[in-house]
Amino acid sequence: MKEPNALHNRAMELAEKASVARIRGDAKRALELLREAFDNELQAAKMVAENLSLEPTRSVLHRSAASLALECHEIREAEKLIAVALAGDPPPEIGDELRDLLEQVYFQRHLDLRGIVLQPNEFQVSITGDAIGFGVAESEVFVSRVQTLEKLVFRTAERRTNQPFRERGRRGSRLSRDVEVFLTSPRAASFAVSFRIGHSSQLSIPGVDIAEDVIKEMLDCLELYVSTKVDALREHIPDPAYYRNFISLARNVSPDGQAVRTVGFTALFAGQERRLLLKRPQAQEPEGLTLPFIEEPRKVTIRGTLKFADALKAEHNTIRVVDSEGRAQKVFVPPGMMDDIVRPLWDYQVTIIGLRERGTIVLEDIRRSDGES
Amino acid sequence: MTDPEITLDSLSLGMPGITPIYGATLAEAATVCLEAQSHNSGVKMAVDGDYDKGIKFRWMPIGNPAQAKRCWADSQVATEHGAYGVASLLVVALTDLTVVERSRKGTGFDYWLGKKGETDSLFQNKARLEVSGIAKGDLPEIGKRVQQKLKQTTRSAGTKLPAVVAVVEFGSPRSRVVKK
Repeated sequence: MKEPNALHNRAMELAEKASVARIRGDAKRALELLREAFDNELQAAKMVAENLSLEPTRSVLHRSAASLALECHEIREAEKLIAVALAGDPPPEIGDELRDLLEQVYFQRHLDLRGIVLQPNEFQVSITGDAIGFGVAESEVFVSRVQTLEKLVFRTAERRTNQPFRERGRRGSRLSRDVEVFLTSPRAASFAVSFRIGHSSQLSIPGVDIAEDVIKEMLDCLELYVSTKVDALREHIPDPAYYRNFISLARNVSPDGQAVRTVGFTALFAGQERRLLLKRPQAQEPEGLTLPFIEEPRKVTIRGTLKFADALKAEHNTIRVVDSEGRAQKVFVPPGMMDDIVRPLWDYQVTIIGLRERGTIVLEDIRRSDGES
Repeated sequence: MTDPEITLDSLSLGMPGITPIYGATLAEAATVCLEAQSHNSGVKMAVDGDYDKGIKFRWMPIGNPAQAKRCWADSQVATEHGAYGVASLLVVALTDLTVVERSRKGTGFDYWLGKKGETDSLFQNKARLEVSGIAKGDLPEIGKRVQQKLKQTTRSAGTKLPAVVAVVEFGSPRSRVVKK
């Protein structure tokens, strides 16, 4: 019989090979190797399970096997391994990591549709975090994400029907009529609702169902956002205004890391279930997703109250941020940001990341800085 | 006194807790990250935190640059792997520790440090290596990442495990290494 050391080393060699295969673009081989790695790590963990004093080795091996189980979609195995590890006496930090992993296990369950049958024009959104209970949620964190997702749906519909970016004003009446967003009643999972996109046959992409197309495109782009595939995302959204708008909305939907830890999507395409999980906190969004649109930028950070904006003249898309000493700083808002991103923040304390360009500060990022996301 | 030197390609020899093939992958990622910031082999990296050194980093040209560019198209993945490569080498150069073990954590690895030559007791009496990579950032950003990592490693009141935190920034380039 092999020793735990040998089994663990074999598991890690296989997991390393899986990582290399994934980097080289061979996802199928990566999954095969991960499965083999999981089998070895599971055996190693079982061999030390009875030795409660062997910490941190016991809990680390179980956490490692549980991580591999999750990667192999063996959700129940992951849950059992975490439970065994926590039933021992893991060091506090490994215990915390096991609980984080358990949240992921449970979130996979929250993504389950639980008897709800999604139609091709629907997707389910499920949220977990400190502000979310079983079937209840703090209204602020929930409502703000619902409103952002509604904007994301409409912007995607406008883009997919080749409309120029609408910088201000209401949505076109035809689009509003033909792409309506409905919410189904919330249900206890973590906190889950379904979005339904109503549509008529008048607005269409030839041969394509607009609602299904919008949901697929939105999830495709969110997936590229999550994996920071900047080039591929720009291919999907070549228009800078739409791109900037998408990045800001995706960030606003994303978890803040505490009140909201995960935001998950479930949809059905051609009978196949598709799941997408947003886990990266807003503050950890990689800079590369936004910066390269502006050459040789000079970054500035401004904190203050967003008091008013001059959106009356198309050529003067500016806002002013008033700091605690009453000084106003003028900031130019590039296309794609004003209506969906900046306007909802008027009169709030904000932090602005800007880029100094020829004496003007150009807005790159704006966030509430009074403790709300 | 001449600056100490580190050769990225030495990662392809492996460490007790990193196989040669994976070490070569980490070295390639680090090379891609440094070259993406227009650095050439021989660039001096400032190392601060618990240390105050300038270390020259050298590397061989990448065999197939087009393939490497495709593989490391995801800049976040490249930065993360490159940072682990640089951090592993810095630990070996600056301390009497090396990477002796790893375990799976999420979709990546959790590296564990031990005395050189100590490889037989899995995770017993080992320190954790906590790494964060930044493609291009400033000193406040590096400081913020160090604090985040320290906070992560001490979030439990009864924290027991020792750790080495390393934040690697490829723009300057600069690394901050802090022992907890």
